[in-house]
This record gives sequence, structure tokens and C-alpha cells, in this order.
Amino acid sequence: MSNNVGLSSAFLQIKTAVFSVVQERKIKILEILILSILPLIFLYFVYHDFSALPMPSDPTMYLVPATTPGAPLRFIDRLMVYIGLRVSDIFFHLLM
Amino acid sequence: MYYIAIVNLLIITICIFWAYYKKGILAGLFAGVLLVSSFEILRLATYIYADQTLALYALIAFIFFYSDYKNKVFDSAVIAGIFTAFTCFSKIPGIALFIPFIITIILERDWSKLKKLLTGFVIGVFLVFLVAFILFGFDALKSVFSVAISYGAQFFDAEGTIDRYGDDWVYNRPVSYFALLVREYYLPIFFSVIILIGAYRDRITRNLYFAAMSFVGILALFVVLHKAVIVSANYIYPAIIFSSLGLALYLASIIEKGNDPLIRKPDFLFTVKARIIYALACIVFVFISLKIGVLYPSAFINPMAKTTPLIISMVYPLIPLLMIGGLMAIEYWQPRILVLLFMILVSVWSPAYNGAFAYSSVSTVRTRVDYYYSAAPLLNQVPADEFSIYVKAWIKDKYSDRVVRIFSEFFNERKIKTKNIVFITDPKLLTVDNIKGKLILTDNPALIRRYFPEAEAGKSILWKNTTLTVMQLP
Repeated sequence: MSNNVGLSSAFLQIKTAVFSVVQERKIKILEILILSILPLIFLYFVYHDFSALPMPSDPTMYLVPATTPGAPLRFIDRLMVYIGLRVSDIFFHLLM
Repeated sequence: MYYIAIVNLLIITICIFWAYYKKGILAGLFAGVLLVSSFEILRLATYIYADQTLALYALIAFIFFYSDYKNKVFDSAVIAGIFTAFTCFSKIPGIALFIPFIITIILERDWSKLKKLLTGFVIGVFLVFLVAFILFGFDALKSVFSVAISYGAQFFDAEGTIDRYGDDWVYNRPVSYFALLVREYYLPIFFSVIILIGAYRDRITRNLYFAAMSFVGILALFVVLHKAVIVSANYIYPAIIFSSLGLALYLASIIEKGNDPLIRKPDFLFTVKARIIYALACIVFVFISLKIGVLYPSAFINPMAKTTPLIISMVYPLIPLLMIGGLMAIEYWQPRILVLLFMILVSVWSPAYNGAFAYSSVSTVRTRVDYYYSAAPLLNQVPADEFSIYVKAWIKDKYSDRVVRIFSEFFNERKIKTKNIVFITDPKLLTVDNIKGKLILTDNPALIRRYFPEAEAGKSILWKNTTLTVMQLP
């Protein structure tokens, strides 16, 4: 009787160990698969959107000066946007 | 195209999985998000630039140098040396990679590592020459050297001026050193970032930022010492890779520490399941955000325009302040939860913002080079080995005559010598002394006849909507 209990607990331990290894490996594979999506997103955008970029006849269509008159913002908002622009210039262009 | 796709993909994949190997899924995720949403990386993704190859080799050399990997044949420092040689031979700023290595060796007093690094470097140099010899032969190697030496003479006499070429300032004077210091791309920002996030505390992040600063510092040195003809923003590329990795590992290390001073018991957010769901959510945000940036670039480039959605105008100034404030709070309190919120903010905003800027930058460059690459192949159709060009539609700026160089380097099917083609920018120069050969390619035959009354119209060549005529002189 005690032998049977000992055996079954040993089996249980082995089963738990095997399952935990399998589980761990499954998680690792899942993590690797998830992380692999990011380079694929990069490839998709760069070689789908950027490369297929139409040659615009007027390049200024994308590069409108930030001081375009008539923007519906008051002085303080403009100042805020200006500060934001400068800070974001520094921050995004370098870091992100 | 395929070459640069592979290089870019390798850089991003190596960064993600190295960070994953070091600090788990969140570190890999952060590295991926920061790189995929980086302005410089997106902007340069479709051009073949030496900086990307340099960055790839530098990254591999860095990883091997600071790893404990050992092989029966090679030590990791030897492999690092080989890749350092490849880095240096990719482009001259590659020598910056020696700075962090040498300083680490001196600080750790590990002289055997120096010996291994130099051994690897010598092997790397030998491999570079061997491959060049096998692929291009001895004569090509000799001519590369002669060109390098003649360029070297120019290199040390670099004078130049401050010039604005497109969107990039070109720096090559001591006075522009000040401009370097106040511009966003260079040294002070790297210093402030490393201090802001306390990256100097951890060995990995310290070394990563140190490598980044070495690449930035060497550019500043080139400028101060007059050793560069042009120092432009592209050269910052390797530094961006290293600093993005540094930031990703720093943020992951905050999560590792497990402090939660702001909220009680947020452990349910850090279970395996929760991490996977969080990673997937960030990836979805990156995808949607990049798509928005690419579809509506002007909304991010010009937040004050009438057409820009009000929500973007409103959050625009707040986001960078939130980000810098967030980093300061992360460094001060070190809360795990704030790191998660910070990276969600980055995943939502940064790809749209940087994607928009990168997309418009690529668009501008493609517009600019469109003329060269559409016009240059047509020169093959001019039936002579010596001719002149006066095409008013091709005279766009002071660089318009580069079409001849583009032709000779990429499209020259008949091996016409560059010196046998003259690009005339002013009709007053249409004289016998200035032109070459008996043919003039033009979009204005009447004007050519005014200067050469006996000229006869020959072959017609269509360039976009313009008909070009080859005029035969008597």
C-alpha cells in the first residue's frame, strides 16, 4: 500500500515537472512568436507603404510650415504647441 | 532593396531578441517598440547607407564583447574584434566602437581581452581584404586604395561651408560646433538621457549608452578638428540603436526590481498571461499608430493647421512633456506600473508621430531624386559618346548637373566617359567653346537654333510629359 502511494507521488512529481517544462517551453515559444511580429510590422510598413510611396508633384503637400496662418488656436495654445514642437523635436527625433 | 531589408531586419531582430535574452519579454517588446517607431530607423529604412551596415556590425561586435560566450576555437572577444574590423571598414566613424571597448578593458584591467580583441581585428582586416580580392580582384583593390589616398588628402583639408541641403544642416566648420550642441541629434541629449534615466547605474545600460556617446562624440570631434567633409544626421544611426536598447533594458530593469510605491498589489499585471496580453496590445497599438501616421502625415507635421483633428492639436504639446515627466517619475519612484503606462503612451503616439515625419521625409527625398533617376537612363539613347545637355526642365537647383554622375555610375550602358558630357545650365553658355560633341539634348529646339542656326532636329526622346530633342550641329 505504502509502496503504491510512494510510486504514485513519484509519478505525480515527474508529471508536474514534465508539464512545467513543457509549459515553460510553450510560454517561451509564444513569447518569441509575439516578439517576432514587431520586425514583420516594420517590414510591412517600410516595404509596403514607404517604398510604394507615390512621388508627389508638390513636395510641400506634406511639409506645410508650422506657422501656417489661420490656425484656430489662441496665442497661449500656439505657445504651447511651439514648446511642444521643440521638446518633441529633441525627444522624439533622438530617442524614439 | 533586398540587401537593406535584410540589414534592417537583422538589426531590429537582434536587438529584440538580445534584450529578450537579457531581461525577458518586456525588454524585447520595449526594444522593438522603440526601434520600430524610431524616426531615423524608419527614415533610412529604404535607402542603402553605410551607416546601417556599420550599425549591424557594431551591434554584433558589442554583443560579443560584453558576453561570456566561449567556443573551443574562438573567444567572444576575438569575434568582437572581427566584427569591429568589419565596422571600421564599413565607414570611418566605425572607429568609435574602440572607445567603449578600450575603456572597459582599462577599467577592468583585463589585458588578455585587449590581446584577443586586436587578434580578432587583424583576422577581420584580413577577411575584408580577402573577400574584396576574391570578389573584385587585385586591380580593384589597388584602385580603391589610390582613391582612398586621394580622398584622404581632401579629408584632412576639409574646409567647406555651413550649408542647408534639404532638411539636414551640413556641419563642417568650428562655428557649426555650436549648432551641433544645440541641435537635438547630438551629445548633450545623450548625456541628459543617460542621467535622466539613471542608466549609468547598470553595467549593460551604461555600456550601451557609452557606445552611443562614442559614436556621437566622434562626429563632434570630426567637426572640431576639420576632419570631415560633411557630418549629417544620418551618422547618428548606430547611436540611436544603442540608446534605444539602453532605454529598453533600463525600463525592463525597473520592472525586474518590482517596486510599487504608487499602487498596492499590482502583481496581477505582471503574471505571464498579463505580460503576453500587454505585449500583444502594444504591438496592435504600434501597427494602428504607424498606419495613422502614414495615412495622415500632415496632421502630425503641422498640428496647427485647420485640417488637423482637434484631438491631435490638443494632445500634441502634452505628449512630450508627459514622456519626459514619465521618465523622471520612473527614475525617482521606480514604479513598475508607470513603466507599463509609459510604454503604452510610446506605442500609441511615437509610431504615428515618427512614422508621419519619416514618411514625409522619404516622400521629399523620393521627389528630389525622382528627376535624377528618371532622367539619367535616357542619356543612353543619345547616339554619340560625346554630347551636351541643355534641358530647361532639368535645371532645378545647383545640384541638377549631378544627373551626369548618376548616369555614369548607375545607368551607363555604353561606358561613355563623364567628361564627354556637358550639362549646360545657362543658355548664354551655348557657345562652341562650352559645348562638347556635335549633339545637344534639349527640350527647347528653337532656342538651340537661335544660337546655332544650322542645327537640325534629330531623334526625339520622351521624358515624362516633355519631349526632348537631340539637335545635330553641322
